[in-house]
Amino acid sequence: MNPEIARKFIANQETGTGVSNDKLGMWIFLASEVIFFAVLIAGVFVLRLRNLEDWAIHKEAGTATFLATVNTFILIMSSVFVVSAIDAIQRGKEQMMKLWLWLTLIGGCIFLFVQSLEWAELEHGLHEIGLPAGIVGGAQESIFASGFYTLTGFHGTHVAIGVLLLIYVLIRAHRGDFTPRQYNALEMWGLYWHFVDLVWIILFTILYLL
Amino acid sequence: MVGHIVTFVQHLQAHARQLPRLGRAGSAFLLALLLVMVGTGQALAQAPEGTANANPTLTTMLGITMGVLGVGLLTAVLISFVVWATGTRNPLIPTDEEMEHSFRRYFWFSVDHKVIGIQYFWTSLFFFFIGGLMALLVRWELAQPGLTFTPDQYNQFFTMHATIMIFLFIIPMLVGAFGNYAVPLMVGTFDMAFPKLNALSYWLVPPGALIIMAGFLAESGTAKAGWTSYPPVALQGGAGQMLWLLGVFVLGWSSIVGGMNFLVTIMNMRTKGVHYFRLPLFVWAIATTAVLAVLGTPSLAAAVTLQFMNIAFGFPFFDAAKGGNPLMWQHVFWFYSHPAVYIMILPAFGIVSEIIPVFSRKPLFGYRALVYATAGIGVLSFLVWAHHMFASAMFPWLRIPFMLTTMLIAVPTGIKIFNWLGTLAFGKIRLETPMLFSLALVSMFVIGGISGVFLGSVPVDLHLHDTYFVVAHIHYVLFGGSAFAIFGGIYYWFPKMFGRMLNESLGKIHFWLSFIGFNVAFLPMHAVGALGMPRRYADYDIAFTELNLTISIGAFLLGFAQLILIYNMLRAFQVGKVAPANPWNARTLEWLTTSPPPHYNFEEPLTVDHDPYDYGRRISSPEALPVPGD
Ligand code: HEM
Ligand SMILES: [Cu+2]
Repeated sequence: MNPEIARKFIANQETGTGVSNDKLGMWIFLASEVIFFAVLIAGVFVLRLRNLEDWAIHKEAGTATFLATVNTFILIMSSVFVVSAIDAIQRGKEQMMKLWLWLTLIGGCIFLFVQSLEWAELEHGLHEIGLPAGIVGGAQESIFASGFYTLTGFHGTHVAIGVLLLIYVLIRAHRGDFTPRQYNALEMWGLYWHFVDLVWIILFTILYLL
Repeated sequence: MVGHIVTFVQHLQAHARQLPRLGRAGSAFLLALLLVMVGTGQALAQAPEGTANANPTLTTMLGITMGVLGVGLLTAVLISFVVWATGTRNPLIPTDEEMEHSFRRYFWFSVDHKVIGIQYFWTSLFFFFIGGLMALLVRWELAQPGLTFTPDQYNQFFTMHATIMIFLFIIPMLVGAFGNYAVPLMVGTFDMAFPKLNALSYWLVPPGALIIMAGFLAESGTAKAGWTSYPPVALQGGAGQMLWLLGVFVLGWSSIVGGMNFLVTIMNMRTKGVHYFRLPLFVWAIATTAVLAVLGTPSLAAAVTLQFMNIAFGFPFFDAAKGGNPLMWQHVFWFYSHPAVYIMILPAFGIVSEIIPVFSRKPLFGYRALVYATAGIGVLSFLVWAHHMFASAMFPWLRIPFMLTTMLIAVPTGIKIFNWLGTLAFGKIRLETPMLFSLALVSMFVIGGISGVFLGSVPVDLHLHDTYFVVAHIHYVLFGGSAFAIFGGIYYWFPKMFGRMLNESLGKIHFWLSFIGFNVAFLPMHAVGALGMPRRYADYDIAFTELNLTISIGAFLLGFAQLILIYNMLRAFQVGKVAPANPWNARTLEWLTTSPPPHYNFEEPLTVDHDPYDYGRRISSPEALPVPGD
């Protein structure tokens, strides 16, 4: 790609949406992610209505609400950290930005760790009420457990991808790539992270609270 | 000794620096992928027998996937490594010079939308022939009553036929090939908004295809529950079905990423003067399609995810005995797949809306009506999905609202037909091949649309559901519609894409044989269907013999006709006339540049002061006026 030629063409564009390509693309991508999760969640929720009893029994035995509450708190805080990081770089405080990003990274890692603890816990719970052991084995009879593993599994994968991308963002932050006027990668990543956070809040509500 | 190693390492490093950046990143990516695969394969092989986690079909399926992809990658990586370590230039990686000009760039990661469009073009065309082969096997079986293949093989043939034609021919050809090639040119910009993601969209297609077709290596064969994969039958599918689900998932993400790219390009990168109501209709069609892809495809991704979980891990989402609901699959699947049928037809309508005004030398009749009809179809398409489920165990009262929305969607579709007819009326019509195929779309789609309305009315559908009448409907819309538009698009844009003209006489022969073969093959299907012949069975009542033989003869004629297209293209590269910049005297922006266009499409950025279809008007420039002697 020859940036000079590109610039010439870009200078001659009709006014578009006014939103940068990257941001517009990210929003569109997130719209599709929303549908992906919405369909998964709706599917599980509809099945729940047919299996109220199974849901109640397995939910009781199979969720660690305390751990999940801690996790929810951590994830919400990490979203706040991202906002702070962006705010810091906007005001030119590069060190502060790095600090906030490191805190976010730690938050993400703790989330994943606690989540995996809970998966182990759930297996145990199912085992206790007489279902075969083994993560997968236990879920074969239960809509709750199947839905739980599928939803938290896909969400967890998103968190894991988010953490990997954050490492990339951090490397760039340490290379000094971000300035008060140019912190695109950080901002895009932040949008994604907020989305992942939002999905968790919904999952937490329907899997643990309701 | 140590000294030798050090020199060797230095030698490697020196070469590493010489590699183009993309090549280095590419090799690193391949290597990482390879390691992950080897690791996973290892882990699978060592999973203890009989534990709850070791699902034998899952293991087979993953094994096959890893195997097929792994062998290809391993070869590529090994060749690259040997060549690189010995200091010769890697033959797999084109040089910068070649990346701009040579044929070889088509076989490598290119970020130029024109190259990617052409990569999509040949890939889809290849799958058209594989899918066609499957269709001919189906028709071979059905030419006479009795069995030639086993029912099990037959099920694989029709499932793979539909899957390949839909996911690997029609969608990638219309959106991937023509969309990629034409959209940036038509909005007057130099490339797509995200060139690298564009390359990613393309490069997800071959692995997706390989994964689906790897089912041929599985002991129990490929997927065989039809392209709609309804449980409970689909749940019995085993490794082939899981490969199908995984492949569709990969292809789905390719569509989503592509859709996002198109939307951003169209919204943000139009050149000066191209406001929304100066966009050619093909661009509008691709934009609407992109919205459907972005909002519909994730629903498919979620559906295949749930089914995958069900087969692989026994999560009983669709298993009625364990609290699941098989009908849920149909809802989620059709919530995507009805919009998907419009993904398959809207770009085709777009192509026809480009061709008809050019070959009638008249402005497109009712431009805005067509734009609104396109968008209207896009919105309505999300509200009709349950018309595929009239005969299912869904709540009966739901049938009425879905019948109404289905009838409603025929209205914007009808508007389009009248707009094309209005454009044709009193025009100076030139019957060249692109126009012939466009007129074929208009007429054949009317038949397909009307049979759709028949099927959309509940009492009729209860009789016709799952008969050959539905097969007739889908082929009138998908072959008579989408595929004919694709052929029209090939004859129309081939000169732009490859700089050579296709031969008109061969084109006309291709057209007439296709048109006749098509009608001989698919018209009688309405009759056998209405008489009660069900779809998806390997054998049938002898009462249907003659009609079925006719259908098979038509199908083989249709298949044969496509070889002429291939011959015509290959011939064009050898002896075809060199294409001028604007062979059809068209007004859209892609014709304002050379054939094929330069690297950045236009020498200079354009400022546009005319509408895309103002043919025949006094005020417009010479190339828009009727050609003397027409
Ligand atoms: C006038 C507009 C249309 C109407 C009212 C309509 C209506 C219908 C209905 C009611 C069915 C269900 C039949 C059954 O299974 O019993 C059906 C099936 C189908 N339609 Fe259409 N349709 C229309 C246009 C299209 C278009 C434009 C396409 C694609 C380009 C298309 C592709 C299909 C396919 C692939 C199926 C079969 C799905 C399967 O395998 O079960 N239709 N259509
Ligand atoms: Cu439909």
